[in-house]
Amino acid sequence: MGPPLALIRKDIQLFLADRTAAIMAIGIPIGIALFFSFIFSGSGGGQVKPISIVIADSDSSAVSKGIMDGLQKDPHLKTTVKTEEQAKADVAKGDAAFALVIPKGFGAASAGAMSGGEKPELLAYGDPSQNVTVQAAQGIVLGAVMNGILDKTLPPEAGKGDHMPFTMKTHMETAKKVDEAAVGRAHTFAGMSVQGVLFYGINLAMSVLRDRRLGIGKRVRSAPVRFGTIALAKALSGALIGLITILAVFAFGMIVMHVRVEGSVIGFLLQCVATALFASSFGLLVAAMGKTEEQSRGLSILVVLMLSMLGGAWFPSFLMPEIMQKITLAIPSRWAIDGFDSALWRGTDLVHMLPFIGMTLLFAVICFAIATPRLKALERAA
Amino acid sequence: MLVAENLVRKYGATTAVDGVSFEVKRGTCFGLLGPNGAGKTSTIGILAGLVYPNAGTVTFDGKPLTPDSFETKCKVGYVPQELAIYEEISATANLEFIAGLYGLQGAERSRRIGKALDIVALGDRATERVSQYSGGMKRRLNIAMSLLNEPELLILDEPTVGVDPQSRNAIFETLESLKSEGLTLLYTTHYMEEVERLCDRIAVMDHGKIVKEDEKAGLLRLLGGQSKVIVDMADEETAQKFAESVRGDGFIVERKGTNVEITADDLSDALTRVAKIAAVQPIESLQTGRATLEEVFLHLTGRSLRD
Repeated sequence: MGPPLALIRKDIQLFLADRTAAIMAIGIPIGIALFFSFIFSGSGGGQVKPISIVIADSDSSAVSKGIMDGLQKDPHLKTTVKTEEQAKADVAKGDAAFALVIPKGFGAASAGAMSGGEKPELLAYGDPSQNVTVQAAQGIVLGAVMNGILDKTLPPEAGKGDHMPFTMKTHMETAKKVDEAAVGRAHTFAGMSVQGVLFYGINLAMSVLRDRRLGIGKRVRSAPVRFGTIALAKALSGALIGLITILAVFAFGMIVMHVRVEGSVIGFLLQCVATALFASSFGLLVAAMGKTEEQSRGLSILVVLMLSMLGGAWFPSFLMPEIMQKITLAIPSRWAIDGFDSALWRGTDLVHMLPFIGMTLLFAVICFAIATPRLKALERAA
Repeated sequence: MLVAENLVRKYGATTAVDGVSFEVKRGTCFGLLGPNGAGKTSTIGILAGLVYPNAGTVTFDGKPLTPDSFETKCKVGYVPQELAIYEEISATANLEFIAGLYGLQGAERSRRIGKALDIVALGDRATERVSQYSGGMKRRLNIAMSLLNEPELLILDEPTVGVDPQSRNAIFETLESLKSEGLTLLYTTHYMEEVERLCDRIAVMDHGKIVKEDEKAGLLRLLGGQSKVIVDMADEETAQKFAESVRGDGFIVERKGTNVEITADDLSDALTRVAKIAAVQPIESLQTGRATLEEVFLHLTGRSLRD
């Protein structure tokens, strides 16, 4: 058994030696995920910020143009005009929470409906993970459409009444059709598995600092082993334990809460590996930044909580202000959680998951590259 | 065997090791003695290949010994001052971990682990969690973990800190046995009795420098081969009067309670003087001795505290 394997094997032995801690590492994220699942799977709450929606006009009539104009001027909406296919695809990929499509012939049919004809149907697509936004968008859109029709079909002096000359049907749109309640649970398990593995990263950091305090680092360095090998072995053993944690959390979610991988299974597994590698490298970075366990623990817990919150582990990132949604793209946990969301309930294929996997790995590499030289310097100063 | 030449190690503005040079011959025990903060551990760090010196060289059998000279490092064992062991797992698991670092596997790994456990007499407790060990057992395991690579030189950095006399004696017996088998030892401590018992040659270190290096006898001669006469008096008052009567003629006289300690270059001069005064000031008892290594140490490093 070579030095790297000896280092990895030792870390696994130490992890398993403290069974209570090992169970806690897996049990705590499961417990929190269960808690949030029960809270969020019913989905409630209000929404006041401007809602980003995609609109598509397949009719190009005076009525539809009036509706489009009204929607674009509505202060409660931020609209993007696209084709019907693009609008549907945006919702399916999670790029938009709501899309409205005005179908061909809608203008003429709605005018006819005003005088007792058959009511035409508007098409809408909603992201099932964003129920609150979808419901809010539906309400605002209905009003805007009603005004658009009435403005073009009735003379200005006529009373507008409350007769609605159309219907609207919203399709919850994902790449794969999923149970809407399962979306909330899947997102919660994605978030809590990432938070849980980041907390394991703190444990890894503490073990590095403890090795330094106990002189084990000195003993290892007195052996014929390069520091790069030691750091890499630590990262790999940490990633292996992190992977076990993530898989255990998801296994529980799948068995008990019926969470399913609707997208690429390979992509899901790669996202698990990438997330575990990131958590492990993050742990090394924490160890590299602090000189003592006490010094590092408090700060790193705060950092993990921030990473979890901003990454969307506690509540979906779309509930954040738009500027925060953009800023959090620089947060590694956001990519990891979005990656899991894609694999679990959005039904994304492997190719479209690669950006999430790649970005998570990139953050892992950045953390490792910053941590290793600093750890080496600290070890040699110890 | 091991030659250190003009070693310098700095930590920021502090020079922990300042031009240290010495040689350790094969089959001997070399003691590095010094108060806390003297630079012993920093020197050991360089000798064990943990860090590069800022200046100077270390050679082992003529080959450089640095953090990257793996072939040479395989010939050196290192016992850190700290208990560098994992208490959550067994002694065997700890030893397997270190064996893995040296690329040992299979039957050879088992043989060396068994041998190391036998040397430190832990064979019958090898599968227990280390957390259940006594302090002395942990110290012995700390040593066993440094023997797996079958080193030619064993560097021990204060290996008996915090152990009871029985455990310390067991560790000494282990080290004496290893030395008798030809293992070279480099031993740092601030316990004089350990150095007196184990070491053939001693370097006294202070403020990052070697202040004196010699064989044990040579160091004792440093205080002029001085002799001591210790007289016990009936009470402190008579002891004080006796001390005042003896003082003079180059004698160093110190009263400690009812004892009067007279240090002189010549034992017979001191005894003659004591006998003359004892005729008028009766004494309870008398004993003679020579200067101890501790006195040499204090003479070389001073008596001020090193906290």
